[in-house]
Amino acid sequence: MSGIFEYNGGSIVGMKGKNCIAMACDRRFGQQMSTITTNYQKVFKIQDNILLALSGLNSDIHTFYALMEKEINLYNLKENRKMKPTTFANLVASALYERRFGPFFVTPIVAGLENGKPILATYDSIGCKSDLDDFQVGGTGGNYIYGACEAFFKPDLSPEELEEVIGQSLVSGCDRDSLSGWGGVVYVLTEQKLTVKILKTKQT
Amino acid sequence: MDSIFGLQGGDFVIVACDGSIAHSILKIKETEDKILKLDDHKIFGISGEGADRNSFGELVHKNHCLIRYKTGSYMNLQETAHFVRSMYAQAIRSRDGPHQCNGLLGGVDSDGTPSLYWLDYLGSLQKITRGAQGYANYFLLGLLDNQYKPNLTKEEGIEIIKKCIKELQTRFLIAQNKFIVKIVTKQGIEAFTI
Repeated sequence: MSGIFEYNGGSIVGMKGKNCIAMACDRRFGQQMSTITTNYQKVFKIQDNILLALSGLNSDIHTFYALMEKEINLYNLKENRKMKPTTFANLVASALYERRFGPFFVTPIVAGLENGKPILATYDSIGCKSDLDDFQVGGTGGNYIYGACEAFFKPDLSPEELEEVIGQSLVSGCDRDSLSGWGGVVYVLTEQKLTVKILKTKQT
Repeated sequence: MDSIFGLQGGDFVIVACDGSIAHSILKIKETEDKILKLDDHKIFGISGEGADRNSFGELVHKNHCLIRYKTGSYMNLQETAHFVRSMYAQAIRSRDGPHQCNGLLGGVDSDGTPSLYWLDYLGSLQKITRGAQGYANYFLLGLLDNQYKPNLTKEEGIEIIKKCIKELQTRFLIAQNKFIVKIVTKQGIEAFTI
């Protein structure tokens, strides 16, 4: 099947701010050109200080998320402590590479706060970790969101500004991509709390 | 070519399917029941080739019963949906390949909450309030979106399903005369043919 990453559609974006991180995703789940639901969220809270966003094939999003939940729960039980975001970021990379010759068709973004310091990493489907930039995108609308991010983003934004910037980038990007959209959800994580906001995009 | 569609109301779930089995240009049967009863409060409408539909259906039914015998009670809707999804997901990377059938799993939990799940042969899973599998997607999603409102009563739900059937009979190239409709409420499953 060609375009397996484009089969279900969807876009995700993550950004770093000043002692905070933000993740946003669209809400569409479709089968190529047909939309099945408009309330499918692709960002998952793995731990109080770690968010995982997954875009790609819906089935593998479910499978990979369940796998990561299992890994982190086992880690908590075995080591009797929480997992650090940098550790989780490495775990995602190695979990993806374990399936090097039969990969999960997902492009994850991991975001977290480690001692107040923001961590952000993105991967290709076989586990190449990239954590150098201050914002990362994924999914079918990724390229469109890149442009908007470059324009709006500044380093060291406060949580409120970051929420605004990431929301606008996601909405602009998804409005152009036919396989993403139908609303957006923005998660902003600070040391104190996680805020979730639902955005309206073009309803097509 | 199968049409499976369904909707969830305030306290019920309806799943409907067309009854025809065809081989090339020949219609073999018009009253085939493609909606499997998993237990007194769960139904699973499966769309796909006859063999795949039957074999996967049996696999799901028997595993569902096995879990009941092992743990002492039937799984609730959410657990069942995730379980069926994991069967699909495990198969796609297996030697024999994916189970070539899609499904709509609906039912009512013991506390009366109805749910309807859309399942795909790759292992996609979505909880929906109205939906369809196969070609019916193209004809019925617009109609279902238009007619649906939250907390439908059973009578309103049946009316919407009748409208869907009329739509398919009017506009779908393939003549599908008989439809089997199953409704799950807290009291149990009712079935009838339209």
